[in-house]
Amino acid sequence: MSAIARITLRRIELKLRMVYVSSMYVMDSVRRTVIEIETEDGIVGIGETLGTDEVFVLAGRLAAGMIGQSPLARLKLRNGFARSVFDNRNGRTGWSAFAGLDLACWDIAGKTHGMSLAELLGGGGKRRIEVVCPLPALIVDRLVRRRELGAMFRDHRNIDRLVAYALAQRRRHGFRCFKYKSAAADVEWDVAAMRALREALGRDAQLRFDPNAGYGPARATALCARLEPLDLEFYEDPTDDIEGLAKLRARMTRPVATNMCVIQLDHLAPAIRRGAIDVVLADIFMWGGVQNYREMAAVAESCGLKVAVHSLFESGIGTAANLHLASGLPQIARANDSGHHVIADDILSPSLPDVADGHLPLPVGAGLGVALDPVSLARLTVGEPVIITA
Amino acid sequence: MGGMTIEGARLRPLSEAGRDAARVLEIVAGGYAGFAPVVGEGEAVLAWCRALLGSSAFACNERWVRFVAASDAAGRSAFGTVENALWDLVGRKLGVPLYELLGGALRQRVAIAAPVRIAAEESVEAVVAQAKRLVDGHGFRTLALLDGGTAGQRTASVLAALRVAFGPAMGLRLHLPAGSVRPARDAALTALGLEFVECAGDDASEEREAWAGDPPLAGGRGLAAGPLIAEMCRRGVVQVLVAEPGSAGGVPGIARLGALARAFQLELALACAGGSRWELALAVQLAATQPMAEQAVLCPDAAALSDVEDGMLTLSGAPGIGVDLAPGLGDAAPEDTAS
Repeated sequence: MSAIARITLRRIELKLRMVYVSSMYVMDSVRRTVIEIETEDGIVGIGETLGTDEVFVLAGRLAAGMIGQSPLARLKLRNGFARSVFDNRNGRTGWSAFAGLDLACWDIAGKTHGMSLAELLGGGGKRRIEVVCPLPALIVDRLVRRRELGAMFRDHRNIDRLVAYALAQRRRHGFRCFKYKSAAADVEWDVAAMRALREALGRDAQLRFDPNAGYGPARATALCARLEPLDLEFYEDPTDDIEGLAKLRARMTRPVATNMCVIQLDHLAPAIRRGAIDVVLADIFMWGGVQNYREMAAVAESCGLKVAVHSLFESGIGTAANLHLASGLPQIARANDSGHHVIADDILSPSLPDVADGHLPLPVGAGLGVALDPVSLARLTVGEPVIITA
Repeated sequence: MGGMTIEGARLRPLSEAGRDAARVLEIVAGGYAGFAPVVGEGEAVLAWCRALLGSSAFACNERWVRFVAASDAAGRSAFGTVENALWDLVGRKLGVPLYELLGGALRQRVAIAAPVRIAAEESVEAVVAQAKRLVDGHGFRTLALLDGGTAGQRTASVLAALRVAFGPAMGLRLHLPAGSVRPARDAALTALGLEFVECAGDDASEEREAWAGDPPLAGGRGLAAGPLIAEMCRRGVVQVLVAEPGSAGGVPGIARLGALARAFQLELALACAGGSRWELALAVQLAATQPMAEQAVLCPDAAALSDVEDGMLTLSGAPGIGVDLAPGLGDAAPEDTAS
């Protein structure tokens, strides 16, 4: 295999079709890092990851160290990046930076061998993947300051707009699974909103509740106890930390999931020993790419945990990667998180199809099975690309 | 990728008649053949092959799900044998060694343990002499004492003699068969600085939990990643996972054990059930790709270790597992066929 000759990193900004309100964000666009790795013999692998300043800078530094190395030596690259907990393995920034590069290396592997990512993972038989409809905590028409939200949450008539949005998304895209993003600002609002969603969407709909660990253990436990009759699919990060989740889970009958407290292999053993979670809602970026994801899924499978794909809003590259994970890994049996239908722009040619009947099709072709659209990419790029060569 | 449908399989005799690894499975898909040593019963291997006819050679996850649903000891070995042959086949088809399919090698040279046997009639001096021949011939840096279960109280004496003879830098470990009584875990045993003690078949025993400490306990041989191994990891009653590529569920089984080892920060020790070149080559390639597999690979048959230099084997760049049928063997009549 020829070596890596050139790596290009860009930051892009994608507009959302809604103002997204959660306990972490009030936003109408998202920034992502797009990575192209080119080998000496001209194979180009594409990857994507978070678009924060920290991740972009670290990904660039890592990329410089990868020039001249084989893109197929993924284990060695990972070991070089995060040999120990001390080296880059704490928090999401380090692994996220590595994940974008790792994803591009897998894309190259697929193109080299003529296999899709799902096939490289040992699967690929599942051709349609169910996806989740994210629901903001509140429907607003413009960006607002967080302190303005308080009054809106106190007016429960605003719940009608949230329910109307969910029903419209179901009519348009056929969703059967919904994730409500709590702002963790008002317990009464959250309970009322979840009840209204359950009533409107019916018992057949899968409902997830996600306050992004915004409530302390006592409030979260009391809140989730009130949600128990709603028969939710799971509580996603209802509170913070492995300890907090374990205490809450001990008092609930519905499953507990996390994408914030168990985000690397080092977290699995304490979470398993503590009985903290039922579902590892794993994000390919925070988990540091495909290999880590695969290993996480293997551990989860042996230890009786379920696995589901987490995502927020990404370009078609990330969406495609998540579809391959769901098709390639048998441990994933729940609907994928996806913000695909909320993203107003994309950088692929052809674009991924729209969500229909609550599903997205698995991209066909080697590697990720998607290709960049240079015109869209240039239009959406923020700042200058970083180009690294020997 | 199309055109990789499993078309047929057969067992071929090896020259090492009368042993577990005396047969090799040849499996065919898309015009390519893959090979793996047969672990366990040949009929179970062929039955599994028949069940897979017409399916894709690449679909290892679908196979794993079916395997997990119906796994027992015979099933594990059959599954592992077939998986290993299929991964060999895929490597041959793509023209890359197995380790490259798994993400590339973390180490180009893999440490091998010298198998030192202790039998009832053998003196302590004779065992030390046996070990010395192996070390002098191939530079081994780890001695694996294979106690046949008859040495009894002499085991501790042999270990002490080996430590004196080879000094503190020599890796030293003890492998006991099922039903053996472990030597007393006392200060003298701890002072020997063993890498680990493995007592086969006691993975779920309460005694294991009581014995765990220093030296570390190894376990899991013959098991595939699943609830039992996970429980051993969770309870901390194993410090070293011993993994046989055949009985642990083949290449995907070792990958799963490797993930558990990483998550629970356990060492992973690859071991061969028999002494065939296929098993050794496979174990070496798998060890090269596992971050936690820093323990020397165990092959119980010293005759298979002729290529070991400085106690290490170097990875070959040959496709798949990297071992071909010996000249003439390919012409031998197959023992049985599934097609």
